[in-house]
Amino acid sequence: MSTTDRSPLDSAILETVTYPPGRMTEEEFVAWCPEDLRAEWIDGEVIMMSPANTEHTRLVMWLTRVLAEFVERHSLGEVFGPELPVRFSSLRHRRLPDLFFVSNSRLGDLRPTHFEGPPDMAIEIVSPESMARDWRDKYRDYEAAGVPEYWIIDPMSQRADLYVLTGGKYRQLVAHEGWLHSTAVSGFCLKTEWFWPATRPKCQQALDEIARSARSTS
Amino acid sequence: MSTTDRSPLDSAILETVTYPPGRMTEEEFVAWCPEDLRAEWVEGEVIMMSPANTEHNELFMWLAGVLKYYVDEHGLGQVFGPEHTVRFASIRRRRLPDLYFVSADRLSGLRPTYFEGPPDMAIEIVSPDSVTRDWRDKFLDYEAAGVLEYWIIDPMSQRADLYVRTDGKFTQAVEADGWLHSTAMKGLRLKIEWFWPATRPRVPDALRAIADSGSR
Repeated sequence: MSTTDRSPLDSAILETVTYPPGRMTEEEFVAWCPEDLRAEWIDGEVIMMSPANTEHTRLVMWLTRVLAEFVERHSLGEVFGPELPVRFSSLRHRRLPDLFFVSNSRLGDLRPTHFEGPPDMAIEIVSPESMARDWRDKYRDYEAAGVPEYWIIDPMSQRADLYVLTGGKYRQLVAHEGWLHSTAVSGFCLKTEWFWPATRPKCQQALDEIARSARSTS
Repeated sequence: MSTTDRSPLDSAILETVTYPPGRMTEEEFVAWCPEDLRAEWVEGEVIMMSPANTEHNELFMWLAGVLKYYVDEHGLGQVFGPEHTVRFASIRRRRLPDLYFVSADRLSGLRPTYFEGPPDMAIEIVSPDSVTRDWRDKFLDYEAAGVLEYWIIDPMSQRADLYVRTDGKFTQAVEADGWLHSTAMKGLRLKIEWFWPATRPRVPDALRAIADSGSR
């Protein structure tokens, strides 16, 4: 088929659709995957991430700012995402969490183009195309790979679950008076209502409330 | 605590909240579970189902209508749900699928109060309280127990996934021109847009469209 009768946009779409070229080894995947493409590698299979929707991006940006600011202020480690891969060599998977946190003691596992997992905490914000991936597949991966804490935030069902690894299995931590308390990021907590657009404060306001809540519970 | 100062509604709420009395064996669960209570038993743990919301119930009634008619018309077997238990002895569970289908040659697994699983097809309609149960827990249960086909319909994300058993594992069936094709229920196909309220046809119109698409 000739490409002369197609506009540049058509060609771009066609290129995207013909990606990826079947199964690959991890080495082939790393060599092939363009830097600006969000794709995961699952034991030979390549999974393409859809572009994020507006509310998804807003929530990622907000969470990144709040979490990164908190982590920096308390010198706890570093926050990454959503384009840095986490390599789970035990599972033969390379995942792209929306956000993940690495504590100071684990920063030595950072590589130039990925983090040699598991991170201390992973966060996924669910979109329509990632229902099964976030609620089921990544839950199982993160549990099996030993990610100590997994947050799943689902704007569609307005549901936010926090799972903590206990004895090799995830156990759900329930919100206490509307707050979810992290164990992986010491002192960090979030109000579940902040995840939904109508009840989301500005970042600084959220950070102030987190600091107040820490003082009142300590 | 005395109950004299509570209205009947308060008492009902309190009773609901105090259910269930901890872990039970399967025999204890069967003896205890009131007939009008939707509860599942998972290896000793009792899981209470929330009452359905309006959209959940509308979609359920529509699907039940389409499937029941289709299965009767073609003499394929029987459709059950959402109060009929499936017992999965191999994984020690009693589940309540929203809908399930048993083919004619498997109907001998039917008992007076439950079906001795696995059924040929199970369908779950996701509600806010069942996101993890339907997307994760039941997927894994149905896969492990040998259900041939699992439909997950999620009105919140407007996403419908069809999983078909292949070599002991669920693989996702891809939609073709907006249709999902069943393999467990011979000839059945459904348009994904029918699952969402704004684009849902009347039951007779859907049945006609299914028949037309099959004859083409």
